[in-house]
Amino acid sequence: MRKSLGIYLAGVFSAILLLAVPALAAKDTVVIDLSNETATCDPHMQWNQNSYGVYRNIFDNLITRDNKGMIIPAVASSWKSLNDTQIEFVIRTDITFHDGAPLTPADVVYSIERITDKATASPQRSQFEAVIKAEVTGPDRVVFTTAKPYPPLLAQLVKLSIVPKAYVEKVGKEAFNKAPIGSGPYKFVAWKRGVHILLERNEAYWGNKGFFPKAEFRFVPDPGTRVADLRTGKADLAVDLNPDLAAVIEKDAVCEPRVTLTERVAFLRTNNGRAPTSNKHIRQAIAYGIDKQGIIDGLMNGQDRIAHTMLTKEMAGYSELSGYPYDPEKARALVAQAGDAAKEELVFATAPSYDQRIVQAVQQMLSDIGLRVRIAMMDQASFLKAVQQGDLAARPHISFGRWSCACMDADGVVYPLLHSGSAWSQTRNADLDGLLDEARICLDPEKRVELYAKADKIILDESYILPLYQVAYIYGANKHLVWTPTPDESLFLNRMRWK
Amino acid sequence: MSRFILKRCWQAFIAALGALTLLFFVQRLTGDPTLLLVPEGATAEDIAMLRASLGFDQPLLVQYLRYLKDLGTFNLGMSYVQGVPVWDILLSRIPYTLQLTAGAMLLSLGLGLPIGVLMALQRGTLPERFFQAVVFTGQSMPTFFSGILMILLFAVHLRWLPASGSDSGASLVMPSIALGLLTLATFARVARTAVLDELGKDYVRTARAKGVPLGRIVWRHLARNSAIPVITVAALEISHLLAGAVIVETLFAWPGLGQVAVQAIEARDFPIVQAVVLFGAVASVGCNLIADLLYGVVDPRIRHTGGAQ
Amino acid sequence: MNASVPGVLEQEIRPLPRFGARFRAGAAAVPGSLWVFIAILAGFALMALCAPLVAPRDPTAQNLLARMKAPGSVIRGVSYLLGSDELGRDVLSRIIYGARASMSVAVLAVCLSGVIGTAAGLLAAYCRGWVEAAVMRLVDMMLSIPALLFAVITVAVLGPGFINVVLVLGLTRWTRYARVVYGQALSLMPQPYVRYARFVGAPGLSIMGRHLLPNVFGQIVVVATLEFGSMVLFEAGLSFLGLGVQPPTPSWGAMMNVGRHYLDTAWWIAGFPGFCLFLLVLSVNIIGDYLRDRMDPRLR
Repeated sequence: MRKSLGIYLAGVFSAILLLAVPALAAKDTVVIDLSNETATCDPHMQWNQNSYGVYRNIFDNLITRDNKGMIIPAVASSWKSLNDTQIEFVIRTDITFHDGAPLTPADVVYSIERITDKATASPQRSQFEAVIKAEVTGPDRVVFTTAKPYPPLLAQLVKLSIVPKAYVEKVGKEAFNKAPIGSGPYKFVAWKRGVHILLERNEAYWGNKGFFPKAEFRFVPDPGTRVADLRTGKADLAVDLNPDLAAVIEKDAVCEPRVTLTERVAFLRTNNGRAPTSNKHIRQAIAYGIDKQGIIDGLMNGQDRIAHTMLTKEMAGYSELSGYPYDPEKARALVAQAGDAAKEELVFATAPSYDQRIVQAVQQMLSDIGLRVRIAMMDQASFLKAVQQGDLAARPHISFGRWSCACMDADGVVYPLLHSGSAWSQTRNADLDGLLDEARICLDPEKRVELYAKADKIILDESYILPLYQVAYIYGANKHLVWTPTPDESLFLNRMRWK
Repeated sequence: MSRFILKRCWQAFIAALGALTLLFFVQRLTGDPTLLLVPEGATAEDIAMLRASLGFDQPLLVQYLRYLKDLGTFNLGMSYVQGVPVWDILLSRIPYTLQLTAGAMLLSLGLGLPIGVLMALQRGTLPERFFQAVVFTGQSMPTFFSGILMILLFAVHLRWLPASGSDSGASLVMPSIALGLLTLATFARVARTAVLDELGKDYVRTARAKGVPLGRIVWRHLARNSAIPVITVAALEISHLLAGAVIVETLFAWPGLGQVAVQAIEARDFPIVQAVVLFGAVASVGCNLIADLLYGVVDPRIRHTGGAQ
Repeated sequence: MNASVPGVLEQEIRPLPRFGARFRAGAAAVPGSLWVFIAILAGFALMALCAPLVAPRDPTAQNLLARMKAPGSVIRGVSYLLGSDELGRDVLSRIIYGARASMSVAVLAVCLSGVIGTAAGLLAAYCRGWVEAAVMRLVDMMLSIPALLFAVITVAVLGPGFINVVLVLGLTRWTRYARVVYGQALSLMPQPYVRYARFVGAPGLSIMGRHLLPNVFGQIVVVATLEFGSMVLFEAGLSFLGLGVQPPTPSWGAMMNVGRHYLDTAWWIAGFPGFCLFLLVLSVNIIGDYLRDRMDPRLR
């Protein structure tokens, strides 16, 4: 009896182990762990890292940025302003799509019109709606027209992927999404839902060809598992690690953290339309009470950069201003000055995608200066709804945020966050609105810097929003992978190679 | 017999419809996906436009009736986020869910039942204590924690198994164990009780008194007579495993239905959530129905006349 | 279990001896090894109740300069017996306070689901007819929605937090009680004392409360004990998805979830709460298992 049972158990075990046929690791494939499934490979339907990280390899953009963040030619070899509202692009004539069709100026016009056409219902419309007209003006010429002067236009057009007009119109939106064809350095091969997306090198690429013949993007939601993949060599590159996970792989023999400062700025949004954060003293107390450098050194391994305003050095419109120093004494005095108003419990909204260590550290610092703060964690959708919709008086007092317009321009940051006309703003200040409106259509770079400096001054004086730090983005990479992370959080395969 | 099946199906239909209706309305209380879809800085007008294009500007009742109408024609809708038919997503995920369920069931039934039988036969001895400890240990750890410990041990340090993915049979091992441990305990428990119950009956005592070896009694009689509770539990557990492996799938990046459901809830991709729940309901009904029918096969005394539990 | 009442009329009318009495009688027979687990459970309960007295420090007090220090470290005169966590908080104090959150979530959720489930089960068994049908379909419905998915959706509506987690657990896990109570109560309905009570026109509530409930109570206790363990694990699972008890309130599940990333560099952050949670669930399961065996007439 016991013997037969033993044989039986052994049988079950070996049945399980038999399934364990090891996979052959092909070295000609670069494997990248994304943090979630790609939403779509149709570049006009979604803008998030897990999507554009993939599709920007399949498609070429009108213009692009180099590793340092400078705008450089891509599909457009050169461009010039015709007047305040018109810009002319010269389109390369040597580009072909993966199906062999040539890329023409008509494809460029079609690409932007597809997004701005309301019928497409592209979530990205707001990035391009400044362009009211696009027309082919020659065999290699395209002219874009904006309603008003629009300084960040080029920065926005960096995000314009060129799709083949004929193919998209022939197969339709749904089929294009399933089998996208672009002109980029890699071709779409397959998308196994929930598992991976496979790409292969475009041997006929007009520009810098990829090093790896094949690429695999995997979807691994848990960051701990992404680290395990790196350490076991299952993945060559993994996105979105936190500093403590980076510390885990720092000593590893196989992989290492790769860090870059992004244009993203982490901040606390104070609700300026609800007591007691409508009180300037309370807002200033919060600003004095948070030890930004302490957070950066203590929790972020010193990799992030302290932020005084919402703009980073690299952005158009930036000017240097110093913010509130860490001064808990002053903060306590301001809280005392506010009197009873300061006794109300402050709701501090946050979502799981933000670093909870920082949220908790901020809460602690605010309690230290005598404020009562309750953390309200919501999932991302509820969080966005809570901070963005409804009456200001019903929104949370403080919310954590990380902002990037992916356009390296002050307008994409300050306007949506602080102009009273924006859904994302919790500030109502007519003077500030005036400055932002003026800067938005100002084409003189020096004048713009001046205008934004004035706006920043108001924001700082009133402490409408509290910038914390410029976010460092941490990737994990195999030590043999030669690749530099960029501030715009892109994953260009043709800029990667194996050592 | 067929009347019985019809009745069960009707009851299941009501339950599934109730579940889907409940979820439809509860989910819409959580807002809609528009804000997640637009990039930072989108204008209020653009947000409203996108919302309208997804149909969220319609009254809730209209949305519900439209959903029911689509459901009637087996149209599960399109994913808001991915822009592909929900059927495609569901069909691509189901095989993985079935694999994981099979793996977990193989482990939990394959090990749980014999352990349970052994525990019953060796009642009060050291081996029973040992197995009891094994079973209780498996039962007392959160799945994510045992999963992580396994990843660290077997993937990172020993390099025996891959930490994530679904590209080979080896990928299935750890998720199956993590998922199967809890169920294993349940099966061991059920088998033990069933066997102990049977052991106390007269026919077993008689047989033993006659000198029939215990092993033969076990396989002859006990296996068949203990089958009913085991089938009952198996049906329940399979339907749970099918759509409930959320944590294991997330941890091991296993592309099953649980993972896609949780991601869809976070992304407010309602059609996917509804489809997964629909699948779960159908699966649970199916499993229970099969269990009911198996009772009749195992024990011909059970006749389904419409009133059976 | 309840079929051994002698045929005297008076005794037939009276409910069966209550669970408590039988339990007291059985306490003497509890094997010695079980007391170990009872002691562990009691120890944790005591720890949870007296957390402010026992904990050496404020469980939420951070020290960013003393992050992830090993057990036994002394930083500027402050000793971290079980080490410090990713924000420099004392792991020991957090475990002690965490016992509070983890156990009270489970206790409250068990009570809530127990009350709902028992009421539903009794009603279904007593009223029969459409009430029975409605309750049973409701149970089917709940069972056809995977519990964790339902919890995730509900938390998305309500927002995470202590009370909401209790509500979610209570509202999803009542079906097991309902089924057990329903089955048991149904078998009691033809009993002479129940029939007599109905015959003399006792109100339904009194029959359910005085005649049915006491006799299913033992079963409920067994289910509740085993459910307690599941609830603790379930809360930990929700914490894994970021939806459990919210920081800075420590719970074991949340501590394990945060600490799991540090298992290689600072194992104590997740290791100690993990061990405590394991011990707690293990003890409760073993006690529950013992009770179930005792309650099952076939296994005596």
